Amino acid sequence: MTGEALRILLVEDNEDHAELVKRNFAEHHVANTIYHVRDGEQALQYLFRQGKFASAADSPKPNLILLDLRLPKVDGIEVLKQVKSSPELKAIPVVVLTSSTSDKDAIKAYSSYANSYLVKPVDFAKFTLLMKDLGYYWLAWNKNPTASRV
Amino acid sequence: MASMRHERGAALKRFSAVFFGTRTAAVVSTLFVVAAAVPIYSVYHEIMYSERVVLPLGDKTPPRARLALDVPTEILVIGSYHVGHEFGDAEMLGILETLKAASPLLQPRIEYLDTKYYPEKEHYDRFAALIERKYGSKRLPVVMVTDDPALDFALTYRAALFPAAAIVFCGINDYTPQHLAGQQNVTGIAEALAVGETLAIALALHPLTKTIYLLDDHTATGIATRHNCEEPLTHLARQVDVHDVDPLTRRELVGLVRALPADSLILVLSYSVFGDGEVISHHALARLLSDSSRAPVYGLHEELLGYGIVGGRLLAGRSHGAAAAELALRILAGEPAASIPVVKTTPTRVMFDDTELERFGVRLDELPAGSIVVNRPVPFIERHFYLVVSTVLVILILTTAIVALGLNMGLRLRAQRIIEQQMATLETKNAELERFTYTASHDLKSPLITIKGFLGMLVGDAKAGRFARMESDIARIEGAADKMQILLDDLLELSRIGRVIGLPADFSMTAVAEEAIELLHGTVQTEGGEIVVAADMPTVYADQRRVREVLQNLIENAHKFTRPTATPHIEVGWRAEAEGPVFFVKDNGLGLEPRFFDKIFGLFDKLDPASPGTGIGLALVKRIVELHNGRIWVESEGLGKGATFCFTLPDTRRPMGRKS
Repeated sequence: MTGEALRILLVEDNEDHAELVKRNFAEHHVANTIYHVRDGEQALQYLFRQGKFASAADSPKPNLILLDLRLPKVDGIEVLKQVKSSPELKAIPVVVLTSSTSDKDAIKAYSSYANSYLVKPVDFAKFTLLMKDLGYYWLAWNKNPTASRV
Repeated sequence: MASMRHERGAALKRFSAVFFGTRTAAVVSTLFVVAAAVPIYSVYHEIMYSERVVLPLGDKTPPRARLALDVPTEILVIGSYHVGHEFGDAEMLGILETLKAASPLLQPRIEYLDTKYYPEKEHYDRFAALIERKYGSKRLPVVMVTDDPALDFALTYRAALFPAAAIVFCGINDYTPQHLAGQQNVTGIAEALAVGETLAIALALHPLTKTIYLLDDHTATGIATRHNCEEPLTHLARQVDVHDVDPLTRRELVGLVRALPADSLILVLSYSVFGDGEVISHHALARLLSDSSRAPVYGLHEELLGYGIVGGRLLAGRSHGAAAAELALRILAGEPAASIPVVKTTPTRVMFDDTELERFGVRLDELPAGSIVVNRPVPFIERHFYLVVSTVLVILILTTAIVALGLNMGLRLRAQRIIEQQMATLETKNAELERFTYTASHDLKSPLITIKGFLGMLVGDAKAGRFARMESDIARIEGAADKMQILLDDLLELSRIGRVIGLPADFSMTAVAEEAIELLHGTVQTEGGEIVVAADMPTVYADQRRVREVLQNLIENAHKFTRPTATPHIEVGWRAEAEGPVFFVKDNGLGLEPRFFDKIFGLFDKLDPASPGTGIGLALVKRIVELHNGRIWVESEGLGKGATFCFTLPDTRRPMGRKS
């Protein structure tokens, strides 16, 4: 682990799944901070600092975005597109984390410049393993651009 | 009414789509038709009226008398004038064709006395010498003569030239028995010209006539013809001046005729020689007079007709000659000439020239009954009947083919449209199905991940002896399992809707709304809200159970989204609109933004992930309404302003499950 405090923005509408992700990260000491939003609209508001996330203190820029695809109000692909077309946000790695195994979704995600596409495993052991690897790969091995100070 | 008019408009549009393609093509083809109308009209006029046909003159078919001869027999025919004198030519034609038809052994020999050019008596002697030289040695049985000079010649010289021959004459003007005094073995046909009748006809057709000019050339023939007029002139129907024209040169005659007023009338008696000896043919004379004169010109000989005379009762040289030839054949067959009396009447026909009738404004119905009109425009269709009929038939067949092809194309277009519609329906269904399987698998997988994930957590916690989180984790697992069950139930219900729809019946919407509220076990009221049902909702014709489900879902949905701050108030009612009654379920709840108006009816689509339910309810409602050929939509003025769900159930009285 590097000394820097790493921030993950978790975009997940399913409370239970969000809880599973958070617990796994916690057990493997993956991240310092996880910010959880529950739909696409909130995600955009967080990233672009609008609405209830208008204050910069409430919405520090994340080092990684974990993005579910099927989201209420604004879906994940739309969020991905907006992030990747924003000059300030497009450097942030976006990892799609979804239960969809559909090729169509994977192609759409990669075409919109997703950095990775991961399918939530149903099996618990695999889920745990994925969370661990995900943490190590993206947050330890992977060289992330230094998030600008907020 | 309006829809019928609309349908007719659509049919017309389809028709023009088939036949014209585009508006530009329609304009172009209309211009083309207008431009084509002009030449088509002129062709029509050409076909119906323009062609004038001159009927053959003296076209009376000569009787085909037969004569049995053993040896070749010569018969001498002496013409008074020359070839080119049309009346003489016609007489000769009638004689020759009758003789030739009677027997191939009959050999007519023709000589012309040529008296128009050589009127002097010395010429007769020279001609007699020629005849003597040519025919003196032959015993001619019959000598035929046409017109007065030739008869004079024959009677004078017969004793010297052909004492044994019988003489048959024709074309004799002013015939009296004195002509033949002291002669034997002579018979023939007198040229009886219908002067009186022709004048009567002319005066009837030109009632303003004041003066009649009689035109003869003062030759022997002319004088004889003029002499013939005396008696008829005394019997004229009314008083007119009669003038004789003195011998004149061509130039003088034209000058005289030009000066004649329009209320005069010219009758050509017999005119072949001008005062200075210039000879003129019948055709040229008729043309000259007609072109120079403002007055109508009448005549007595068919040979003038068609060249400028209006008409008259006319004698045809051809039939005149033919009649004389028949007398000759009788003599050759053995009948003594003396026993054949001179024929004093000759067949004449009342004839007119349509061009001249038009010029003088004489209508066809004014003409005497039985008149023959030459130069009449003969309709093309009369002369080319079969050509016209076959052309019209061909056009009809082609038109039928075009119409048939057009209809066929219409049918094809319709079939194509149906196919396109079905393709669109199929594509929609396919997309729906794809979405259904995709979302179903996703939404079923989600709780499964939760269940397995927290079970794993539980196992770990149990082993480590950590009990703090166990209860809440088990609750999560239970929640996920419940969610799966509801999801499966709803999915089953939704799939049944597509296939099972009950028989429609008439029922009161108010009653069904109250039933639906009953089934909700008063949830709304028990939690302090109120629900109002309009008492006057109309009767609908639909599947009652499904409509109850619609109301149940909508009321449940309305209740789900009440604002925490306000008392829930739900209204079930209706309003009358042009398309029929619109039913609605209105709440004072959270409301929604316009961009979600369509999305909320989608399968598994929820606006708030935290809200209860599977996201199937409104999809179910939409499917039921659409299976009844109705529409469903939501109205809301925005967040916090409440929402109104509206739907229609048209009374189609048609089989259910068909989308229009």
